[in-house]
This record gives sequence, structure tokens and C-alpha cells, in this order.
Amino acid sequence: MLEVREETADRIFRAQSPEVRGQLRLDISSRTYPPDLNKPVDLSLARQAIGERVVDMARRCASDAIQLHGRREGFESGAIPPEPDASGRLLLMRDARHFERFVLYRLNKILGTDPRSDSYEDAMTNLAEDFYQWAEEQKEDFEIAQERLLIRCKALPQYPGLSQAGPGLRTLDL
Amino acid sequence: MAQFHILHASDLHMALFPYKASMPSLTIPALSWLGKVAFWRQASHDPNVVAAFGELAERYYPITDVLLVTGDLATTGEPHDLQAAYTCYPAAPANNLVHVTAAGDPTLYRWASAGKLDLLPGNHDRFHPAYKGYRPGNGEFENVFCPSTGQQFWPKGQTVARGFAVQRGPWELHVIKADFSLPASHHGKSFYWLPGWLGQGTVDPTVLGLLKQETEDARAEIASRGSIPITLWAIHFDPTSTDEVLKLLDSEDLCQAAWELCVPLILCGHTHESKIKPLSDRTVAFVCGTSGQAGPGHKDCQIIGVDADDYGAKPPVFHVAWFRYGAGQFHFIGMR
Repeated sequence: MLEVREETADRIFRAQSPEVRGQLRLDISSRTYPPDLNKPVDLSLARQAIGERVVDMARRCASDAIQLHGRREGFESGAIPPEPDASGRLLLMRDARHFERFVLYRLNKILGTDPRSDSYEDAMTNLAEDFYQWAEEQKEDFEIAQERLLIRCKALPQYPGLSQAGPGLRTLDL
Repeated sequence: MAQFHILHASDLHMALFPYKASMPSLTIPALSWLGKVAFWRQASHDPNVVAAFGELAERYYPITDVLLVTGDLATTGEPHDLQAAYTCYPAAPANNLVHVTAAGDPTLYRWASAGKLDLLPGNHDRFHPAYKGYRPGNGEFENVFCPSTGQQFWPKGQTVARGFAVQRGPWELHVIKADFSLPASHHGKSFYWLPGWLGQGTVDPTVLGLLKQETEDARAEIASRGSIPITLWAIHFDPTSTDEVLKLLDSEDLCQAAWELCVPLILCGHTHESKIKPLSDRTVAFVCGTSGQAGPGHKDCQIIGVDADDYGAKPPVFHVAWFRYGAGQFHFIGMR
């Protein structure tokens, strides 16, 4: 699992908007819970928690890209990922230091970061570097092509009673 | 065969801020010897999990009868958290083909607008603010979930409400919902020095009486229409919880009432652990884990299947299919 650098976690914490800091915590994940809630962040735990959050978010983007196929009217600019390319891949980063716009939109929601913050650009650059470096090794899910980082948009999970592509018409027979 | 399907979620713990930890003053290391620290690890929702649940709900919408959320819709009973919870249900989607708002957030609008959504409050939804020690009995829930304008999801008060009813073949499946959260005057039952009011509920005799009466009335109406009722009860608290600080006080009264009225199934949540627990030779509890809370532990939801024959001759059979969150999506993990 991705663990961002402590420096990255610290910069993300500093890039949170003042009203969010200490409320939207950066150190809670499926494996971590801060031992002292009176401290606004535990950076050692935040390294894991931010990593998990960002990877899950990237996978959610891939799911959304599949499920919102052809139904993209009415969204705010940057709120949803674009269509996957012809090879079923979604572009997340145009190079090792820059996320795509819809990724930044979602990162701001799950990390509470504020683009107006002085630390924002550095925080996102650090995070981009950490994520890119990690994703390079995850060849089953991610792909680097001409420095661009893409995630493979796999089929949605198989559920009883449903076809894999989306809502099915079969009866659910448990 | 007549089949019914219920998508069951619980304990989403929505809040104004995701990943928010609560009750800092109660995270006392000295409590760890009691093994109770985990209980105090309260957190608000994880947006990735809630979005994944929205996706699962959307995919199952065409072939399930109802979505039931058994309490702890919000992290606290404060207006901003309750409003964040309420918004998930009637929020307008970006367009009429999707389950996502213009801002990209999940919405269960399709379920709510079609009358296929049932929910009820849990203990967190009735918490007073932190400065009041998260005491129970906050009525703010009704102000948000029973608004004078906008869609109403719960009647006024800590009471009982009829839920969905679906007629199929000779059968009519119907749900009665009850709020057994502690009233404002109840302090719960402390365990050593741990307060009881945070995690406990109580089978209030008045609410139980209403539940029994409403069940009998609904059954009589169903019978008058020529159908055979299949009654399910939906509550927040797990009546079988053995954890002292999460107990449903006087739960034996509820179990006795379910036995007397031959209620075959109670759907609930609260303990954040998915399980099946027999309450008697007539009643089983299907407990749903948390479907959205951030932090350690599994994130689950489930589909309850009810199979009933075409002639009304045999008692219905109940099944459950479990789904668990991992890596951005809910995955099917098994059924029983």
C-alpha cells in the first residue's frame, strides 16, 4: 500500500483550509486511528492514511469512468472523470508531478486541501511524486505511457443477479 | 415462487466533515485494559466507501424492492451532521440517468423519489452536542428528517413507523420500524465508570407497545386485502450485543414480543459487525455492519432475500448476501 513521505503528509496538513484542519483528519484509515485526538494530526499515521485514501480515490475514478459512460450531462466542471480511452484506461497524471483536474477536485474533498493555501502547490506536487513512484510498480492496475500515468478501468465487481457491465435484468436469486 | 429483496445498509455516520474523529476527551489510554478503546474510536464517514455504496445501490436498484438504512445515519445529532446525512437521500442527481450529484457526490435520490427508501434513527442521530456530553434524546433529528418542506423520512418523536410494504403472489412483505434510542431522561446503564448513554439503547415499554400494536394493525389490514403478511421489524440496536456499553437494555422484552407475534426477522445494525443471531425458535436477527464509517474495521452491506411459495402454504425462507468494501469498491463475499 502507498505510504507518502512524512514531508508530503505535513505539506498536505498545512494546505488544509483553516476551518477543516483538525476536523477532517488525515490520520484515519482502515488500518490507522490516531491515539491522541487532541493532536490535530499524527504524521506517521497520516503517511499510510493519505496513501490509502488516494489509491482508493483513484480506483473510484476508474469505476465512475465506467459507470457514467455516456451520461455526463449536468456535472460541475472537473467533478467526474472523462471517458476511458479506447484501451479502457483513464489518465490520472500527465507527468510525474501533475494530477489531472478531476483528480485534484477529488483530492481536495478527501484531504480537505485548499487551492488558495500557500502550501497547496507544493503539497500536490509532493503527493503526485509519491503516487507516481508507487503506481509505477503496480503494473496490474496502472500503466505509464510517455510519462503519463493511467489507471486501467476494469469491469465493475461481479454481483449476484447482475450482469458485469451494469444493471442487469436477471432476477436476483440468493 | 414469490421473491422479495431488501438492500440493507447501516451506520453510514455521515457528517459535515468526513474522517472526523469524535470524543477526544474519551480517548483515555487507561481504558485500554478494558478493551474499550476500540469503542471510543468514533469517526465520521469515508467518502470513498459511501461512493462505493452508492454505486452498489445504483446497480441493484432495478432488482431490489427497497433500501433500508438501520440508523446512525449521521455521526451526531447536531444539525450540520444531520443535514449532511439527509442530503444523501433526496439530493438531485446531475441528470436523470445517474446516481451522482452535479458535484460528483453519491445520492440515493432514485430510491427516495420512488418510495423505495426506508430509514430510522440510531443513537448517534440522537446525540446532543459535545458540550452536553453527547447525551441522548436530541430531537433535532425530526427537524431534519421530518421537514415541513421537503421529503419526510421519519415521523415526529422517538416512536414507531410503518415502513415499506410489497405485495407479491399471496404474500405481502412489510416492515415496522422502531426507535429504541435512549430518551433524554435516560442515562443508560454505566459499566464501571464508562457511561452507558453513548452506545446503549433501551426497549422502552411505550415504544414496544406501539410496535406490537402497529404490527397487529398492519397485519389486519393486509389480511383484509386477502394477502398473507410477512412481518419484519427494523431497529438500530443489535438485541444480541454482549458488549455492555453497546447493549439494547431490556432486549429480552423485544425478543419476547417478536416470539409472541411470530416475527421471523429483525433487521438491525449498531455494532459494526455483520452477523446472523437467532433470538428464539421463531425469530432471527440479521445484523448489518457499518456501510460507511471511516477507520479500522470492515465496511459491509447486505441483501436480504425472502423466498415464499406461490400458494401461501409454507413459511417463507430468508437468505442474506454479504458485500464488503475493499480497494474502492464493495465486493460480494458470500451468502447464506
